[in-house]
Amino acid sequence: MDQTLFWNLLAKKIAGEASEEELHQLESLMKQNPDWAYQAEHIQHMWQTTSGDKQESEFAFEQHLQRMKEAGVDLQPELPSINSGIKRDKVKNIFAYSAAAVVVFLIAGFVWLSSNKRNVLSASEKNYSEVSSPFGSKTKLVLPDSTVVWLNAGSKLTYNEHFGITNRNTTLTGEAFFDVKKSTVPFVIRANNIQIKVLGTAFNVKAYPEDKTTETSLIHGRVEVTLDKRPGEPIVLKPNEKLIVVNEKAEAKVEQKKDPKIVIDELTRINDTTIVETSWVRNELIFQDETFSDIARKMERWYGFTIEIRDEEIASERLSGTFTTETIQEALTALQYSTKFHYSIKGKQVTITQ
Amino acid sequence: MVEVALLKKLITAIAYKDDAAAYKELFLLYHKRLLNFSITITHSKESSEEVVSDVFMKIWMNRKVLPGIENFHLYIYIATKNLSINKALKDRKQEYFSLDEAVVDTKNIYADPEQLMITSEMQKNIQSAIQALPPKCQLIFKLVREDGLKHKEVAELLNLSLKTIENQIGIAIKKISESIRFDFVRIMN
Repeated sequence: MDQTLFWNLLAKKIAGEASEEELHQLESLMKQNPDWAYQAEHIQHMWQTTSGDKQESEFAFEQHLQRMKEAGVDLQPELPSINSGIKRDKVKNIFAYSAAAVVVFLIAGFVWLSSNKRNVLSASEKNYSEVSSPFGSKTKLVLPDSTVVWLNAGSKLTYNEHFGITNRNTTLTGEAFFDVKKSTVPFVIRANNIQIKVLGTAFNVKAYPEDKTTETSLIHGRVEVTLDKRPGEPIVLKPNEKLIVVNEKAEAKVEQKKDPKIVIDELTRINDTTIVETSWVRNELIFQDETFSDIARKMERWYGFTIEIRDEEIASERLSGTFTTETIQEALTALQYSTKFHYSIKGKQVTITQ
Repeated sequence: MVEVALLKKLITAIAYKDDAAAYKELFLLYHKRLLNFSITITHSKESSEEVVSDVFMKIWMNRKVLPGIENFHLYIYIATKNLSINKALKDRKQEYFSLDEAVVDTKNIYADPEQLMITSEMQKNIQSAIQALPPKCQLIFKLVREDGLKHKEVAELLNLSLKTIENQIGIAIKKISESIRFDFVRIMN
């Protein structure tokens, strides 16, 4: 008698995977070998067990929420309470005012990384508020005038105590996407060597001091950008335009020039709905035909790692790509398909070599 | 067993309504089994708690695409496996992982004596029979029995052939049955 067949059939039956034919086959085997029936019955009983200590899982969930917070991932909106529906509607209303672009973001379902690490200093202590987003995470905030700001990794936004009343002045270090609430009070952003003035519009400002350039990308509406070196000569941007200003420090290294270098360019679109400049808001790290050293800087902020490229040739290699939920290892491995290099990771330090 | 209908309901609520309560329910539904599965790979409860938390973090971050996943039950096990292996390699500073290194928590395998007509003697025998199984066999047995994965799904999860899974389960059932039989014969005498 083929015992192996019997056990395999019984195993299938228990797991609920046996076909009609197999069940018949098993039954006839059992009839021929009644001494197996007892064992078979016990095994079947044994199969149905309940496992798990619910309380332990409840505790684990609390721990999990804590870790999510630390990682800057927020359950958005808050854990449901009776009024959670109301809260959500309110959020939706804010978005309803805003641009089609932002609506598209919502539909596309961006992942929102949280605001828990933000550090708001109270006005009474300091006369201004400061919100910062650490490396490796992003922060969404709503200013007192209902303007919505997404702060990218390693960025800081400050505004004074009279914000929203007599003025709407802010200072930005790093990158942020603004969806400015319409008002007669101009909304002003100081960033690196430029000043941006708007009334109500959606745009992205990238002004990391360590970058070579400061970029203002307009999605819709109208913005005026004034360079520190050319007061009284505002540059007006039209939708879908991007103003690139070379940062002074970077510029000084290259050449001594009186006027800052500026370029007005179109926004980089991958398709109708994806704009590279604002992709980070949707939790996408996109780069198109950029040098490895520029990409490395983006990845440093994105992942909160430091990346050192020890080879000039690799550093100047131009690459394109999109990352969303990849880990830094996965991202580097993907880049290895485009260009040859080796990498090693020690703690939060990545070293790239030939 | 995880009910398909319940799973679908939870996923829909999470994906389309950002429903945090459904997210919690999903977590409670899977936490223990994913934790146990992960421990077989990481050999560390602490590491595996991290892995399960990471899996669920990814689930929340990618919640919009969840309804598009054909087999969520398998998907979440595969995600857990991948993150567990990464974690294990990091913890143990190894370059590869083999199923033969799996450490299966057999405490979870045998049945509740209150529920079944099994003497404590039998219980011991069953447990030692299971413990005597090779790690790979134990793991497969556990995934089918406790985690409710189909044979085909276990094959996909562990990169093994369907035939291997069927045979391994057959071996497990046979060995456990033999331990029961031994007892049965003794009682009868």
